[in-house]
Amino acid sequence: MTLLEVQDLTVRLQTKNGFATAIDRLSFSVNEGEILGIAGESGSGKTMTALTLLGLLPPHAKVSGSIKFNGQELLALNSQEWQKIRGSKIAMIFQDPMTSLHPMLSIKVQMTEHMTTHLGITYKEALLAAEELLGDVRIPDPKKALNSYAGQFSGGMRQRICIAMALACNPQLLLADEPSTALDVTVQAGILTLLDRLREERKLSIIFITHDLGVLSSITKKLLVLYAGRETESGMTSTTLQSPRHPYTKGLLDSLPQPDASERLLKSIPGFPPELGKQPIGCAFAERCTYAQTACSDHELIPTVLADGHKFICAVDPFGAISQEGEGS
Amino acid sequence: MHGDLGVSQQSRRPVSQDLAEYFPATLELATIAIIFSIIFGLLFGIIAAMTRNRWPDQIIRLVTLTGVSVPTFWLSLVFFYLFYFKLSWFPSNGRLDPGSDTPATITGMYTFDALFHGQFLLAWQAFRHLMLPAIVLAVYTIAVLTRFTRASILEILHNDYVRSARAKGLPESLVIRRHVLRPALLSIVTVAGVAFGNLLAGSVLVENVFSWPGIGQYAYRSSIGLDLPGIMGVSIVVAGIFITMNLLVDIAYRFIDPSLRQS
Amino acid sequence: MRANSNSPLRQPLALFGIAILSIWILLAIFAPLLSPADPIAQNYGQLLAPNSHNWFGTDSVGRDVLSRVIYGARITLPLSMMLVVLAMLVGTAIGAIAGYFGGWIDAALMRFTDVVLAFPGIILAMAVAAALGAELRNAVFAVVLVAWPTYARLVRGLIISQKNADYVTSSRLLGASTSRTLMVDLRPNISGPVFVLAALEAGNGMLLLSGLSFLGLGARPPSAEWGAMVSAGANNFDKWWLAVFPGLAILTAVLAFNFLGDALRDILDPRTAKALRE
Repeated sequence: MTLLEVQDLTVRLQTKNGFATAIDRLSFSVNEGEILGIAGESGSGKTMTALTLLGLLPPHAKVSGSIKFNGQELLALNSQEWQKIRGSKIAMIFQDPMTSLHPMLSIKVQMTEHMTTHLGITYKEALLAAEELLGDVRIPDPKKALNSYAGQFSGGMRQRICIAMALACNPQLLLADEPSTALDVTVQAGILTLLDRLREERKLSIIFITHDLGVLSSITKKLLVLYAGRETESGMTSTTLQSPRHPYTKGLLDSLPQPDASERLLKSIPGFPPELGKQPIGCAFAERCTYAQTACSDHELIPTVLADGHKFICAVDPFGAISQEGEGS
Repeated sequence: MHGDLGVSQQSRRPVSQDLAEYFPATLELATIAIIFSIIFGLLFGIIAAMTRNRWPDQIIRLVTLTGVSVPTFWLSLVFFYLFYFKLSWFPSNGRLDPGSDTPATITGMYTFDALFHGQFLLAWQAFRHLMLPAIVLAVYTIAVLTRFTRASILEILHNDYVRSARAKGLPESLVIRRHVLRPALLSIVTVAGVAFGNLLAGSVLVENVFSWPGIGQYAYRSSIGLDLPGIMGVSIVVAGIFITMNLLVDIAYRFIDPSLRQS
Repeated sequence: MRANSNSPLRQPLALFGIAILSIWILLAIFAPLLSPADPIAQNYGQLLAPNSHNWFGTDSVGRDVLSRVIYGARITLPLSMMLVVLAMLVGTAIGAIAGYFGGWIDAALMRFTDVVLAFPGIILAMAVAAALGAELRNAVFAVVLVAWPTYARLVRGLIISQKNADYVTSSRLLGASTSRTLMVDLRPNISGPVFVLAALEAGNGMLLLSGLSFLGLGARPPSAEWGAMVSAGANNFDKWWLAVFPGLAILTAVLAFNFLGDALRDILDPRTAKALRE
């Protein structure tokens, strides 16, 4: 069942020189209990996508397109209705756990305040539920933790608290913006396992946003690659990462450090993403792409959709022949 | 620090005795002024921050900028002229009407002492005498507190934890009240503490114009008369006040930010 | 949404401040040409309220107040600016030495700074001015004495935070002497905040200076210094024009400095400015 259906989402922001397109006609969907990965560099629009799904964009932003959540059109909501959805049906965890929790309010206040608002339960009931949640995310001694303050916890612990906080009202969709990036690798693994377990136990859908394809490959079922606010490739994670068709995706994969690689130098994609507002016609990646041709930049490109839903937007399709030998049969 | 501050050359009395007589008048003035200042400073600062760059904010910013630019001695004269001379809304010099008896001394602050003794009319009289100088003193402090409150709130609004609070679907009023104002209060308390210390020390000009017998006047007379013990005495007392204020601010911090108690 | 441009010419407040200051500076420079009457020409018995001939009225000895206010700019303005520059130079030097060399020099200098700061400004200034004799020059000295610690603290903090930065280390490795490090490498990074502080403090300096004159500890009558004029007006407060106009002069000049200071801070301290603007 489709929980979230995004169609042609476009977000434009006001800058010094007029409006700039931060997200350009993005479309994707998430089903119940599914994890969708959104991959991209910083500045690609991935955090902005998440904020749009919560209605947390700055007031001067112009949004068009459609976001249907449980069949309800989110872009038509007023602020009261948005408040009812935020934190209760759609929740979010942010990149930096060190700054996402309020330093002066106790954990129990931060855990319970939205519970009493959204669920109509009493404070005492919320406290009990909060204690259970903290146990769920494997915080030792939840009772003591509730009476503590954010400063007393490590980064990994804080992120777990944030996850517990996000799940407090039993949302259907969790937006996770680089939840493990600010943490070290071992802690990272713990967070990922936790998220996957929670997904299974609660039939939780997750949109997992990161630049780290390695992380995405381990946890997501579908993924979408964003570049300069536009979709470049999407599909089932396994196929997309095994047989990427867009040069950007391939570039990202190639830049992952390989433990058994013989070469010393890490490969990287030369150049920089275009500045906000300066995306060209045609493919935004063309100027950095080794396979680029004139056809890439002189007109709007049409996506290619393969049999299993694997979609990519590339005029040249340089890996097409190789892939077809592997896939299509 | 001991009680012996020497003997004043002008009054021929121990300086500490002089100061004990003059200090309550300044304390009374400063207390009323800081109460006004905190109330209006917070109020205007919050309004300015919440309506940032719209017309209420622009007006408040302009007014506060003027407030910190106005010479207090001049404003005292203007108020004196308008509200005493022309409009007779407030009495002129001194802390009480001529001929009135001072209330029996507990603190030396006439309003509080009179209230304590149930002499409400006398307390009101003392209060009316306080108003003009207190308002002049408050003008500058309100301006400073407003600017600071506004800056504080705007800076906090940028923090990630405010975004987290909104993402939880909390009503905006709750976000502001609980997540924004609390940390803002911390810095505001510091500024208010410093401002109170300044009010106690720096009311020389206002006291001069309104002939208010406080330590500002005492310092002035000591300076003019080159009464060294007097000057030193006032300075030491004021330095002591600053230190005490710092301590009080520290205590207030722990009250506002419970997380500090844990470490 | 307002265009955020970093040029001082684009900020309306800064423009306004510059305009007011320019007017006063011009008035000060061209006072003899612009003032309608001789500021010391007396005309006994002619204590007049503002009228078409004397726009600001006359004082108790018949002098034209408007002219005296204009001539007063020649005293108050340059002295205030000079006092700020002096305080800035002294404070910066002390703060830089303390911050750069550290150790006992730092401790000693900072203790000294703290002692000066412990005295409330006006009381210290009054005492010093009175002790030196009630003269405008001594009042300026007193205010500089009270004002320099703020700069010292700021500069010391900046130097301490910057002195171990990479660009300083590499410069020293290349053989830069102490004075070169201070003047060439570190100075551009501290001059910004220092100038902002100076602009913000200029107004306070003027207020303190005219305050001292008001109390009779600086310029004294018959000087046309604005604070002294207000003081003279205080004695005949029913003749409101005597005190109001010089006070307004002080107010507009200080306001102009504060406009400029605010705008400078917006330009040179982008982080705070950004938070304040959005």
